[in-house]
Amino acid sequence: MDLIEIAWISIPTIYKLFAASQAGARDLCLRTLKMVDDLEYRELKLTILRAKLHLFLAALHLHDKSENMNTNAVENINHELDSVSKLQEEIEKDEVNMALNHHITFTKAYLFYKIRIGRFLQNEKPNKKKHFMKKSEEILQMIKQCDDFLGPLGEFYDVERCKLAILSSKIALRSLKTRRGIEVKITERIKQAIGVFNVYNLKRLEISANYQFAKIRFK
Amino acid sequence: MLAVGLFPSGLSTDDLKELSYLAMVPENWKVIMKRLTRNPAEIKTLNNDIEDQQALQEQWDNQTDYQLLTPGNYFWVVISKNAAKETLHYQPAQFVNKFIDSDLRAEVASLNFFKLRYLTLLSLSMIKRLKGLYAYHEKVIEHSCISNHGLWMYREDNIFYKGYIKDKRHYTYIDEFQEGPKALDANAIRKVFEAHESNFLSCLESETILSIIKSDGN
Repeated sequence: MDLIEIAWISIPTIYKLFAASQAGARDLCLRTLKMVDDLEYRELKLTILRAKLHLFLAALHLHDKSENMNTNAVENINHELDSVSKLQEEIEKDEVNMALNHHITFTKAYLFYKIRIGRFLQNEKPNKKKHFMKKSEEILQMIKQCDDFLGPLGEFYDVERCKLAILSSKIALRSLKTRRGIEVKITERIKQAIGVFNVYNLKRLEISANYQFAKIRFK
Repeated sequence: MLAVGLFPSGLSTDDLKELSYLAMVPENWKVIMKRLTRNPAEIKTLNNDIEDQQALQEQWDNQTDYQLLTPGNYFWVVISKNAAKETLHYQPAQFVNKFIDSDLRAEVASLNFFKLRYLTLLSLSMIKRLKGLYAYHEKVIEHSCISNHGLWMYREDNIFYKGYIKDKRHYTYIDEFQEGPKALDANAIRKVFEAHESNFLSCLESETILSIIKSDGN
């Protein structure tokens, strides 16, 4: 089971990187999920693996440019996140549940941000789009919730905290209400994030944090 | 023969060396391959004297499989060569794979376990090398084992992690070299993935996994 716990997330990941289409990685992930279900072993590590696979699928839907033009993509993402929520009922470990709560809420916040900036649902009519539109304050509130979920978790979640800082900054800079007086707290968090991403050698995220810092300075 | 037959898209010289290093195939795999691919004329000329046999074996041991084996279509395997890398590729005949699947599933459960272990290490080393090359970067919403923090970290008490990942400088030949002619670039890694695509898919067969769990009990 220990081998399966690692194998069945690493193999879908390598497909995500190399398969000709995102659909290939998605099909493989669905097949993996079915296999975990077929095993009929109710172990915590397998429940967490299932949750990870649902999150993996949600991320695939979120980044698949060919499908994020319409509401199906939003429904698919919500479906995967709901599946994670259902699995949480089987998980008694607080730390894992907190981490999953964070991932669910953060993925939703990121999705609403994408919809808000027009990078999602491009093919939908404005009234349908409006249905999924959230105000900047509401998305920032979701990020605040994520902060609360991550609060009791240790330093291993620092990267996630720094990712929250990037999204907060992006939203704050776009909002008419908040862009004039970007909170000192956001600026400080972005500065910290640059350092953390550097330590973890996450170059793309480090560049993104640097870009946010420069934008804040130019305001 | 069984070990190679379990990999539907075959194995390369590099894979077999790695499998031997991980004790998943015998150390003298080249000699075994030579024995299994001799043609009748070659066998006829063989001297049955034990000392001569030993001398022959020593001679084989000192050669690479590229020097030792002749590419071609054999009864159970197709051997092709990669002249640029001076390596061979061993593709088992389809019937071997089918026969193992239909008649020998229980017998090869432990070998299937080794196979899953090797392909997991191979996928992890590909991911590690791609990250090292900055060919793939973690996204804000990543949710895959590209991440190695928080929920995506390995459990410290995971037996596979403790034995094959923790404290290891490299996992397989993919991430062994960071620089120099032997260092693989993103294109070379893609080619390795393509060569193993069917092997990876074969790790996701319910019956195979159930046979591994039954035999291993863990």
